[in-house]
Amino acid sequence: MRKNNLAKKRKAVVTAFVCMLLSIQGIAQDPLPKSNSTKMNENIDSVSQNEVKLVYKKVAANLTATSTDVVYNKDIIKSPVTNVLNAITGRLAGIYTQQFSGQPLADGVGISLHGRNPVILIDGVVRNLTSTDLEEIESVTVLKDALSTAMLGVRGANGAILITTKKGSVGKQTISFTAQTAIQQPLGMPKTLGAYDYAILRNEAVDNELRVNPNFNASSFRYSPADLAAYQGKTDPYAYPDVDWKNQLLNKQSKLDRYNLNLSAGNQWARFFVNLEYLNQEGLLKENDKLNPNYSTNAGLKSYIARTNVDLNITSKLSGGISIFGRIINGNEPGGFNGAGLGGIFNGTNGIFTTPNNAYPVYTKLTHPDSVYGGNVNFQNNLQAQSISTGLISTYRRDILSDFYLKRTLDEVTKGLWVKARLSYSSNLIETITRTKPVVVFEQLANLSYQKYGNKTDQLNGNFINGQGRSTYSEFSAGYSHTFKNTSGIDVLLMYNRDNMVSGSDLPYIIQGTSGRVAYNYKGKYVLEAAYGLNGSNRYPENGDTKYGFFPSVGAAWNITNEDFTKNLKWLSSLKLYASYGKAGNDNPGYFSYLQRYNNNTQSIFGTSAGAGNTLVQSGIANTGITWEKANKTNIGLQGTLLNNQVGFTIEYYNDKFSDLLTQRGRSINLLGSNYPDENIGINRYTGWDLQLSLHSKPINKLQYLIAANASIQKSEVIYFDEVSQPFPHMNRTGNLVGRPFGYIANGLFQSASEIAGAATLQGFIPQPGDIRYKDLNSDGVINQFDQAAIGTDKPLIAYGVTTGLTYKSFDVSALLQGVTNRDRYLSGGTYFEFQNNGRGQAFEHHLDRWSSANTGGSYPRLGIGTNANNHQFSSYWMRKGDYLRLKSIEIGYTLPEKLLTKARITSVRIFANGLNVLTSSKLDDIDPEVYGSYPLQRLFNFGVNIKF
Amino acid sequence: MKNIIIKISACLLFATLLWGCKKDAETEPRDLFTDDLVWDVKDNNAVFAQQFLANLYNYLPNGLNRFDGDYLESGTDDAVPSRNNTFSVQRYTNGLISVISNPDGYWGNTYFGIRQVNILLANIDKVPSTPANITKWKAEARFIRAFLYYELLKRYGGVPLIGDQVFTLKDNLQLSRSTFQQVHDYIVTECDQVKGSLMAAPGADVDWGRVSNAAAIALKCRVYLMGASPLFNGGAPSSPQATAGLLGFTNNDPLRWQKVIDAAEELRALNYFTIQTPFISVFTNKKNSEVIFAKQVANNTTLEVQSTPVGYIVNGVSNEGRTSPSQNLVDAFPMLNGLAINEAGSGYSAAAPYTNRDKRLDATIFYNTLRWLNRPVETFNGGLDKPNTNVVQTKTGYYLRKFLGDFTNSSQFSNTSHNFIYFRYAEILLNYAEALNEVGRTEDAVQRIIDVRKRASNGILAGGNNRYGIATGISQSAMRTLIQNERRIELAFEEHRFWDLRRWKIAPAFLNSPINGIDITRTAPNTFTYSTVQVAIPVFTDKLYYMPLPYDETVKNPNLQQNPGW
Repeated sequence: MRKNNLAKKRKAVVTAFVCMLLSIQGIAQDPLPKSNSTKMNENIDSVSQNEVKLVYKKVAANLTATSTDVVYNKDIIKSPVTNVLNAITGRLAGIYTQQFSGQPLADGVGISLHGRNPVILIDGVVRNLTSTDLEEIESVTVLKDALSTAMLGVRGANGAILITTKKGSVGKQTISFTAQTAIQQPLGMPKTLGAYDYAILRNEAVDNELRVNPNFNASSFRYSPADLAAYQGKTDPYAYPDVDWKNQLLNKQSKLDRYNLNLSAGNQWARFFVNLEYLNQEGLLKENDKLNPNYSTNAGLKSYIARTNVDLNITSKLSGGISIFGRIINGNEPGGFNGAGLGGIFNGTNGIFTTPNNAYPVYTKLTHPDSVYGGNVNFQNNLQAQSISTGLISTYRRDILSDFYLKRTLDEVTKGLWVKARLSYSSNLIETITRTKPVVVFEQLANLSYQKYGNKTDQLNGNFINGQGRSTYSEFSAGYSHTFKNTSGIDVLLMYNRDNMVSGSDLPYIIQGTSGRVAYNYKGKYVLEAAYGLNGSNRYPENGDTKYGFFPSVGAAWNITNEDFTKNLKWLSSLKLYASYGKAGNDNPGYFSYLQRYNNNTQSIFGTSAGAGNTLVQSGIANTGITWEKANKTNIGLQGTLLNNQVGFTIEYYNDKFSDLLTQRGRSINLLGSNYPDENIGINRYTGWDLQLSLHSKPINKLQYLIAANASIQKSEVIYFDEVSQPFPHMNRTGNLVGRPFGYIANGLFQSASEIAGAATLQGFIPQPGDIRYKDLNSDGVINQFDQAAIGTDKPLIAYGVTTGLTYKSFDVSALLQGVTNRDRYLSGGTYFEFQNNGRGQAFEHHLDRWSSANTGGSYPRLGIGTNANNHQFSSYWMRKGDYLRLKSIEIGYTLPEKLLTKARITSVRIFANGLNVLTSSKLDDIDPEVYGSYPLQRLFNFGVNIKF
Repeated sequence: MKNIIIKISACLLFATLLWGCKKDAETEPRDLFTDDLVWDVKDNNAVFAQQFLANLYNYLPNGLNRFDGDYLESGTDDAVPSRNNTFSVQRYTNGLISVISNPDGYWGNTYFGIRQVNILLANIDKVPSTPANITKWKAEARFIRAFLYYELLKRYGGVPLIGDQVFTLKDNLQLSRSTFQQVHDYIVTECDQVKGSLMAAPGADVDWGRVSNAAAIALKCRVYLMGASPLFNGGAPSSPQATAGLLGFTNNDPLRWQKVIDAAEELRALNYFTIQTPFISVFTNKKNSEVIFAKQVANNTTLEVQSTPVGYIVNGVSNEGRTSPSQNLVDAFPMLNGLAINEAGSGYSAAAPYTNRDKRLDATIFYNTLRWLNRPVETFNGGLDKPNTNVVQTKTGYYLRKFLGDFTNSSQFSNTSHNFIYFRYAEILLNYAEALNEVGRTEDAVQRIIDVRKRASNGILAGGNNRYGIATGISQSAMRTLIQNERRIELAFEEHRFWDLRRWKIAPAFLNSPINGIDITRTAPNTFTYSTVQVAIPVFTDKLYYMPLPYDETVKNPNLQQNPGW
């Protein structure tokens, strides 16, 4: 039964495909003219861009109605980063990125394209691999509208980032060698207080607590005048330590070295590109050869990347190619507390930013042979010990991508017809080896006696596979291009492809189907374009069937400057009006989540011997009707160049309505007795504008300059998620920005007891002067759930970038300014609040301006110990403007005069220096707007030389 | 050449197409447990069905320090958390409880559990086990469902009764609350219906922890006791919800006490349960003749580490002392002669407050000088267990001793049983005594209290008149106070005080007055002076008699009436 169904569906797909092939042959009768596309100029930029890369095809820019943007190698490599997504920040219209950590190997980048998370393709195959060698990347294209991603079908709704690697070209062999070394400096780490300031502030916090609760156990927290004097005098570093943990553990700067060698050559039969890179990124941790001479505990990574792209003309009609990419990344980090590694040091509750300077002395002066590290009952996880004496955790990543294709022109059948087959295989492995040891700390007591915390044990070794997978991608395509008597042209592409992805022990996730694109132009003036994807995945009912969706798109473009009536407008070089509309899909089926399943739950204990037994629980109710999410995407754009192509502009408007989003219904009632499944009910709308403007001068006296600016205005709206009918309009989530946070609205700080007496307060809480006052939105005299409203900005996010470049004789200078406006940053937790973790926590410089009766204008509420039931509520008080503008990268280069080089048979030598995250301007004073309170973002100063032979 | 190429292309085309037709070994995962596997119509061992049944026990409530290391009693006058600002269980006494922050709401968990019970009831007949097994399993499941309704009933009053329904996504879930009486009657009826099918107490050793007939009778006794109590027996503070019968019986009927007596006698008639001695072994011996039903957990030392005073550092591991019992509770323990400390002739001395006290004090509270892990507890100022430099240390001068193994003279802990006892025989006797006293059989009640007090060599001394300190001819109201106090100390930290204060309607008296601790100064070795200090002032208002229904539920279901005051 099941077999029949499957076979039937497959048969239907195959039949449809064959029919289409035949119909194309019918259309294609006339001989093919020479291709319009010209070879790409290496120094191309967005102004003179005349070719657009779609997922499976390059097309002439004026003959498409799609919405795309592109950045090329020469700009990408100006950012000395290890993740390509960090290199495109600010360079592509429509993209907004956010970096979450600066940690080597974990420098995660969140990327949003028109508010959604795009799919990433490398050379036309979906591959989520962005930590790669920037040198091998020819270009990064962003595909924004439904038409450009239509052939991706059920994977296209969120847009796509298309990474294209370099290919060899016909011509003289070139060898390019680049050596770079960079200095990395941490940015925007929390500014912690010294021991004396800390103690003063904590005494004040204790006084405040006593005012709230006269029974507060002040004796455990208060410092005596003698203590304060000792902290101020810094006389006894063992009894009164004052350890700046950042200085103690971290270097001021670390190194990043990178060596790249690539080779490109080709003739009419074979073309190849070979690229090798070695990269060594050091982490920030200090090492100590005296305490641990045996192995490195610094966080760092070494990566080895190789790529070979070979294209062959086997006969005059048959061509083929092989691409092989290999990557090895070996990471290292200290073992940390109970094997928590670097995460515990940076993000733990007693981590580098959250441990007070006076918590404990780093080392003891005891004579016990194990008594190296200090500690006490409140702090048993000495940070220094964690960073150098707890063994190490090594991570090994291995990736292989390989691609093969054969292409045959079928001019003998009809001119312009070709077929192509492609096979691509990838494999990845992430393995962790832990060799960890526990932290043992000693507290010195009176008379040189001591108390020990923790136990020395043997090293614990472990080996874990964190991720393992492979994918096999196969593709068969056929295409046809033809121009009819130099008036109109047609371009057809049809494809069947199948992507079989295996991860761990899960069953393969297979996306397969057909897709196609047809474009027609009349005299280059009018362009009609249509594309579709008919594909689906095998994670749907009934029996793991493939559920196919049809995702068509259409578009039209009008090259106005090809019309006669614009011929007199000499200042107008080109002008194109284009629009597209289509339906796209987003496959999000989970792991066979339509199956009602049972899972093992907490083991049961029965019997006098307390034997454990397996248990089974029916899991949440399955969504048996699950389907893909959909989007109806509209895009309208106007693109033009003026003044002999010196000025270029693009204006695009998009309106994407996502529906069937998998969402838990808002009106879920617990009487059901089960978690509600995600159902295809959500509707969100994303709208916005992408703007680009560029100025590109002609060389004047060997001086040439370029300025290009882009901005993306992104707005979103929740249209439906079955929200409950809220008792007050300000509580409505529907109609707000997608993901907009809700909380109390802060209205300054209480200044006096009389002000408190007249105010609405949190249910059951008696505030003190200096506590946050909240708005009583429903005027019922109490602050409760009815007073929670949307907080943060309601304005559309604006992400923008400005690139400038200037060349004068042998010098070149370029810079990228990148910024975001209408961005929120919520500050909370142990790296922002004072004396968290039951009073053990650190305090920070921004607490110096706390509210007190002597400083009623303070920017921070009155101090307290631990969590404050009022002040630490999720509220607009802690929601800060996260707008920022960075000098993201800047580069200066000098190319040596050719005369010096010809004798050495060197083609060119360029010396360059560049910087990353050089300057940042934000409203968040000393805090980095992207990464705060974890492994910091880095500023890089990079020096390098490029030699071409 | 050309032909070859065409052939190659054709082959490639076919290869690609064939690839698409290749059959995978599995089209959907065969490793998942699905309906037909769990309710296997061919498995007469019913392996997976029994695993499903075992999981129902996971829905039974946890006890002990289940609030992130704090006991429910830290939300009463018996204790405070040692840690600052634990915005958990203390919300019940500091007034911060609200419809969106109820630390012990238990609403979702119970209905999740009830659903799983109903799934079992709907499917278990498919499994080809013996009829006796099927009947017993159904009875276990129904008992657990009744228990879960009891958990709701004591918190909220009447809640929606959903019977045997297994809801689907399409069902209308905007249900109204059933009345208190409906839920009350449902629980006791279910208990009566299933008790005959359940395992006879105590059952085989391997079945220890499963529901027995005694558990059903004990639950029935508890629910009858609740319904007969002042708050629920027509005594709910007046409100529309009370009038509608959601908060208790709408009338007062003293005859309801008789049901408690009947249930207690039914349990006594099983002729198995006794008072276990010594006191601490009730909690650390998994199976003993006092325990009727308990949450089973694996043996461990977790509770020892979390409760032991902070000055004990065992093999490099420091202990946490998370609970600080109150002076109020310590004062509730009588003297060894059974007299309250403030009674004439009790022999109590404020200068030696722990001398000649009820032995249960030593088993319940770590007080200054009590021996533990080979040294006396030091909770005087500057002592090892109250150094005044630790971020977490006792706030009251006491730590919680109860439920821990006997490590008085040990150097380290060993794995110990920490089952949480829902029902034990001493409680049944106390229920019994309370009901007897209320129906006017005070002297019978005295005998039941004596049963509890005479826990040989560990309880209170018999005294010359063999009345264990209970006055001859004690009045009904004095006896009521004595019983209430006896429940407080005998069942301390077993999750009774919190509910007893409410059902007796004495919470306003106890939960609006200061919670005290003791401040101890060592003047010379082994010489101490004591002064009482206030550590917290709780607040109790009428709305706290019942918990607030979760806000999310009431806003999504307008038919679900909120409790008064919330």
